[in-house]
Amino acid sequence: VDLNVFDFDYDLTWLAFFLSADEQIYGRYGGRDAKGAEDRLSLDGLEYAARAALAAHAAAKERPLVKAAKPQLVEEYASVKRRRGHECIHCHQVNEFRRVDRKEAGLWRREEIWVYPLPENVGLTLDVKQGDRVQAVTPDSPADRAGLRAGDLLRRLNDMPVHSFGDAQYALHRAPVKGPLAISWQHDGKAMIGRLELAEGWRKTNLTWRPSMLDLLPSLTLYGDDLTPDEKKALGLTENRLAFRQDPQVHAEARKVGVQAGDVIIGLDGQALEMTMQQFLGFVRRNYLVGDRIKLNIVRDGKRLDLPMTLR
Amino acid sequence: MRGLLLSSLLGIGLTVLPNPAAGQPAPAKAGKTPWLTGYDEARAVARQTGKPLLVVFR
Repeated sequence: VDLNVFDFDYDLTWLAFFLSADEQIYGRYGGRDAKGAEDRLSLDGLEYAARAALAAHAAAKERPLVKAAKPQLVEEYASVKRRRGHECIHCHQVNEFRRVDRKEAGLWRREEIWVYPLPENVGLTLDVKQGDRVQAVTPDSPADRAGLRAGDLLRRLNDMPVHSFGDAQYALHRAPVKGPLAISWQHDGKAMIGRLELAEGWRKTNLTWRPSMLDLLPSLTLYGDDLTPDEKKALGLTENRLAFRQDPQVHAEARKVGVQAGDVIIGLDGQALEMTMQQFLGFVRRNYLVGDRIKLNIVRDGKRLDLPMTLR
Repeated sequence: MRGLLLSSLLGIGLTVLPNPAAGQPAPAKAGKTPWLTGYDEARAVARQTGKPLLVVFR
């Protein structure tokens, strides 16, 4: 499989390409979010994207073919050549092998984890049954500020045609970490063009469902009951502030950094987090990586302490 | 290559899309689509018929 041609979100369990016999890509159909593997899919949406591909195919016959780049095969990755045996390579492993190679070459950058941002990251909710139709625009988002409105039809994003959620996600995946992004759409039959102004951090998305990221996402080995509002008040904390008491059973990893049974965990790195214990564990998994150094903020015997630790 | 090729061949479904613009027959009923599992074969059929490809990774 030529990864230059079939360039897609390799963590997915299902994705379709529409292309010509000469490997000119007309579109993609697929994609998901952290809620579920099928939330963004529908047969109507697939048919809509397929019809758009047929129209593109008919039009493409009149245009010269753009010569494809040299094939890129996963077998060429150094980390693949080193492995023993000939077991099958799963799609998500393409990401893992690529990351190992880039880390070994000193090329890997932390922001590379934010792959395939959701259209919602720029303020667009797309219709599941018609992937280029804007169902909703988040107020004060880049899309809102560019002038898009519910009911508009997306035409191009990042200079790529959009007929599906998969098309939009691919266009956003190829977008810069910040700066302007070209967008064109149709509003009440009128062609519109504009720019989405992307701020630092716009790509950030929940990665916890991605199999290729499992070894990057930390698991905080803490557990206990949330304090009652009265208990929080007694410690000088607001009602919604994170505060939970570590269970009598303390995981070995937590013991190593100094956590004791009965410690009250109130946050990390001095952040005033307003959430429950369960939400805190998810917060760490969504916002930090294995290897990050943090300071766990706790209360022990009425005194506040910071416990330095490396996330694993 | 073999590892990926094998897994891919097991995981890829390929078919050619009917092209109404080229006077092709109506879409096949569900379950009647002539799926192919070889990419090169599918490209050859697409080239012969002038139809685009639908390639599914699953």
